[in-house]
Amino acid sequence: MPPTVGLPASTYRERARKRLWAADALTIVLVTSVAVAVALFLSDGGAAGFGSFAGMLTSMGVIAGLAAMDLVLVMFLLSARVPIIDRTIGQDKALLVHGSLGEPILYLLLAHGALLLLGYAATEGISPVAEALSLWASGLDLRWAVLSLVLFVLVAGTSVIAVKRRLPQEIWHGIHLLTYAAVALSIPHQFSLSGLFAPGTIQRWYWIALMVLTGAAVLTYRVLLPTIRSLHHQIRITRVTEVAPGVATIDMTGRDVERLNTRAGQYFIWRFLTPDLWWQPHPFSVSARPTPTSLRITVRNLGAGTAKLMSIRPGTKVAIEGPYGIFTEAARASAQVLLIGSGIGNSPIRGLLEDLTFPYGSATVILRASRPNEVYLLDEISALCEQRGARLFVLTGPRATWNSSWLPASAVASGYTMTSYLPPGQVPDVYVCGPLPWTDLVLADARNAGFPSENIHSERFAL
Amino acid sequence: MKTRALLGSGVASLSILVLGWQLGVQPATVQAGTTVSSTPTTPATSTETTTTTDTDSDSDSGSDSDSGSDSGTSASITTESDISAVSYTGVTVEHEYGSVTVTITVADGAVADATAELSTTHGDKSERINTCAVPLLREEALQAQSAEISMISGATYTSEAYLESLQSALDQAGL
Repeated sequence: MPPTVGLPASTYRERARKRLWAADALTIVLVTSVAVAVALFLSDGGAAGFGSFAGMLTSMGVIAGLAAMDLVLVMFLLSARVPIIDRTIGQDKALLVHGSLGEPILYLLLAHGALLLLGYAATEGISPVAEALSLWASGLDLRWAVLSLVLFVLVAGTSVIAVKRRLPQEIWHGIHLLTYAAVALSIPHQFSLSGLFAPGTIQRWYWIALMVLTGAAVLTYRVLLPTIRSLHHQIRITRVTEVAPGVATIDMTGRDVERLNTRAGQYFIWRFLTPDLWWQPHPFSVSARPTPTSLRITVRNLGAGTAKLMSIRPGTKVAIEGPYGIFTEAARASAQVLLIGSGIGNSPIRGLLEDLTFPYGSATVILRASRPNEVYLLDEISALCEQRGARLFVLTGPRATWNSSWLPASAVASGYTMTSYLPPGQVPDVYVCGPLPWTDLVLADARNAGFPSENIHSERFAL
Repeated sequence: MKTRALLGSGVASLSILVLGWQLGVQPATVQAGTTVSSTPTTPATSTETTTTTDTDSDSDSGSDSDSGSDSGTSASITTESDISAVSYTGVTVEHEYGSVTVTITVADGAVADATAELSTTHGDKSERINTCAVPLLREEALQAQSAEISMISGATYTSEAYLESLQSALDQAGL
């Protein structure tokens, strides 16, 4: 049975306080790791290099390289699905930060190459071109490093959003995996060309430990754990129900499903193991509170990949990565809730309505759609609202043409905002799920209403 | 909350950087001291400085043979004319980034010490390679008592030149 009682407001505040501390601690550790990388160089007497112009160029080049490699490892960790990162900031936010690091790293790597080339050339009093030739001749390790830089440029180039949109997801993802090759190629020169990591130094051990631990985290949480879980839980599809044109609810079952500890609002990356679908990873939220034996998702036909999902047969085996995300009870900061969904975003909203703790009558649900027939899962959501005493608003109609708002034109014309749908003075937890531009408008309205940022929750899918 | 993370990161990073900088400054003054003390024996190069410091800190591996070689070093310096300790200088071997000349001290028919004179044409980077590779090569040479020693990865050119020069010094000594 769903929880019908809420907890004292202080419980939620305490929970939020702890989570924010953990998130800040995580930020501090990751940022400071860059400082440690630079400190490795300084502790080796690197500061002495700043005495001359050539030395300064060389030192800056070394520092840029160290910072870049450290940030690459941070990037790996952020995309490695490390449980502690997922629990504190959510895997979707971790991937946002991951994405934002790509460009700075590229600049650092280019600076690393350019500064060292100029620095060495200045030290020896030869032209950068002559220095480049002499460096190229200096051995294989450096040539690997140059190839590594070329790969980094390629990966970063394809990751630029515009490019990402034009390439199919799978191709982009494949190119993205080249990062592993790029990093591997850069490792020999880090150890052989810099005296900093010479055998026997503490710096060498630290650097090796950093690489080994990061590699282990990626291997464990991105490869081993999902494989073990998929093999153990043996998830299979039991039923596919069309709930609206192009929208289907998929029920699944498996062994020890409760041991996955899935919360409503979390997502898995699903691979449906049919000959034409197994290679496509699909990130979908669970749309119901998981039971000890079943998992449920509701998906909408959005592209070539999801179109095939409509015709998937019961009995199909499913490989899983997950559950991920803190778009759940874990993110709570207040005793009241406001759930806002649009399109297929109604799916996790339905799950949350079932799973979140709140006193009878202290929740509000807003479903937004252009046309009434696009309010997916309306029947189930209104039944749950009735059961748990939640106010339900279904807002349909075209959006306003004169300004950008997440509300329909009619509501904007009446001067309504988010707070119009809430009891006066209430500062609830706001959960938003829907198309990205619309979600951004909702989040902006929540901030305008003066809600603290720890009360505002949204989930963004990205692989 | 954002400010807390920002402030925490700033303070932590700054402390780490200052600590690293402090650690980096200290050994430099120690090195300067040893350079002075080793000047009379041979033309002072930065490599020799580290050779000296290296033997001091080398207490973990092969301690008995090492301490023996340490006393050998001082013996050869003070008793240059003594028949029991004779120095042989190998040929200067040029390589891609400089040159290496190995001088060995032979006492009682065994290599008691090996010093290397290095020049680099490749600035800071080569110097760093040399300062870390040469003490290791010396240690290996003393242990093997021959030029059949393994190369130091990342210092291939220096290693090859060192071995060649060392072999020619050994040839002269008839070892």
